[in-house]
Amino acid sequence: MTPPVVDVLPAIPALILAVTGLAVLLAQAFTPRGQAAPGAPFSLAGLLAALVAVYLLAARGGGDLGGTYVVDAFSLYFHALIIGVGLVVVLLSPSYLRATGIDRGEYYTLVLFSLVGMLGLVSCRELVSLFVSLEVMSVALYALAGLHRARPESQEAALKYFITGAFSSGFLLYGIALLYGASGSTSLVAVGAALRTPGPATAALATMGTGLLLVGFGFKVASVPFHMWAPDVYEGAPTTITALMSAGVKAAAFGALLRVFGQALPALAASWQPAVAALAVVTMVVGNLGALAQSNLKRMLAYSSVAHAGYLLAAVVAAPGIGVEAVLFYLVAYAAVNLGGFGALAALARQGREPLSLDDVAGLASRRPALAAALAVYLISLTGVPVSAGFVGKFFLFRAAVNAGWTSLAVIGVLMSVVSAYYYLRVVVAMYMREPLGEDAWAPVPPSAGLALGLSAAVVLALGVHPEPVLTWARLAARSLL
Amino acid sequence: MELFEAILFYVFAGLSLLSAVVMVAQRNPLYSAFALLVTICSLSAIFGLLGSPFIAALQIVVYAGAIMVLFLFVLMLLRVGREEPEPGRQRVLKTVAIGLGALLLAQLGAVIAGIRPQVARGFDASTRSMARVLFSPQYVYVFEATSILIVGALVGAVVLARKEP
Repeated sequence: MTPPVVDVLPAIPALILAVTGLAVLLAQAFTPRGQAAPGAPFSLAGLLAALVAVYLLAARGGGDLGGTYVVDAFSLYFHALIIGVGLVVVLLSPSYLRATGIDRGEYYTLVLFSLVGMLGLVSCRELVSLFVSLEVMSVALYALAGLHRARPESQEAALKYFITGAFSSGFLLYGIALLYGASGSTSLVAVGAALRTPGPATAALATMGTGLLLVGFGFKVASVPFHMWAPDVYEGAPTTITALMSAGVKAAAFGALLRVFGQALPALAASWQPAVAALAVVTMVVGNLGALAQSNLKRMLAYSSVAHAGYLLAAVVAAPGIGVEAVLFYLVAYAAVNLGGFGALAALARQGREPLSLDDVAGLASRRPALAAALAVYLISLTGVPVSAGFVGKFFLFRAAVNAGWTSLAVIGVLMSVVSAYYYLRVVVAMYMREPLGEDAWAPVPPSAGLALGLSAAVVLALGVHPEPVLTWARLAARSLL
Repeated sequence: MELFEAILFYVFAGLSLLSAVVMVAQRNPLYSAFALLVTICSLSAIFGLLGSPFIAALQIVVYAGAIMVLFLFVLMLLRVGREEPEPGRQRVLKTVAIGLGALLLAQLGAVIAGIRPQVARGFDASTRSMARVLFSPQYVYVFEATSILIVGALVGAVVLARKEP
């Protein structure tokens, strides 16, 4: 029997990242004890190579690996986004790791492995592969969340993330099992075809499976009522990893959600749309009200991340149609903003301390004018003020909801955005209108982190002024899902 | 022959259910672990009866072998030989949990009563056909991703568990 021929080219970006991760691991093994391997340059090289590979794949027109790992316009869009997130996180990391004393080669290995999982998550057209990708991403992040081993908050974050993550994986797996039971296949396309003409028993099984899948994804995107872990984990994890979670994990989880619900479950839209709409409403309300009460900046951004999951879900309701491109566009805007926000906090870290309260950033504009300006741009974009990516993104999200006949979702979203202005702008006010308190305790912004922050601020402004190119690409990606 | 198989099936099915109940009801974690072992072995026997020796062997090797050893290791390390005292103030939670459980049971009953069971299609569950599926191009990605998963888990465990350099 001759072995079947498999075209591995479509998986090249993921392979490059995985091999780079192993190379960093080996480099660490050959580095003298107590020193850190040059993980950041290795990872940067690998990420840039992967980005080139994505570009070449796009020029080649995609492809697939054994029919399960599919590289279409949708995957390519997310590949570029996720690798971009990886680049920014790696640029932010060296100075932060040194400042907090957790500089280790394995950090980069785990970051790269989690990126491999994210790439798989948005590319898999088969439920078992999807689940394994999710685990690849999550297992690396569980360890990364606990990297500050001396800090109890970090240990708490790792444990909470691990337990809730494992729990949510159980839900997801149970949902997958029920869908398999209902349709006799784990391929998204075959499930979609089988559910178009369901018998009564199949319909019941498939509906239960859909509900369980929604719970599983709800945990991963941190939507209320499955958000309890998010504030503690975001606060306790190393800040660069928080940036990776809020930008990368959210993007990958929404990618998988859109693919599964768009390709396998459009026939059940009538039963999952109201559920998603309800999740969107409570997530927007609880996320924003929760953020109002926070004095810790990382916790505030964590609740804001919950609230933004709500805005995104409001457009997922309109998913089979224009909702998809709105979500895709907003994920880019949101990733840039969150990388910037958490990155700015990480860039100031010095001797194990980082700015966490409003007092810590008071008068920052007079001491670090460029960083304060960048942070202001991110916060304004999170609020959704015009000429920022956040405004354009939210506009598309809410327009999608309205066009799909869910006007109430858009109304709640806009109202909640107004509420959010209070807690976002409070930080801007502290930076610009207050006098600095005490000595300047923060680090000068390191060049690589400065580059990363400048890059994300530029993306935020560029998307706000000229969203057309990314929007066209998002439209193309959304169409490939149908 | 078929009668013999049916008898065996019901014996093992009953045994697995019984030991599963014992596992949950036992308050001594060590006894629970052994009850779980009985459940796993009876499940393995059922897989064998269904004509899938590969899954039956996996069940023993992975669950009864590796995972049970892990459980027992943890139990011994933590010295949980004593009975866990029943928490007194969680009576309300317990009532709620029983109520929800009854609801789930009723729902399941309704769904199962509504389903007209079909005779399962016969299929080849032999080791050879398992291998054909596992090593088909369809699962190349999963196969490779699993190796990354295992390396990632190992690296993560070492990072979290080793002494500070």
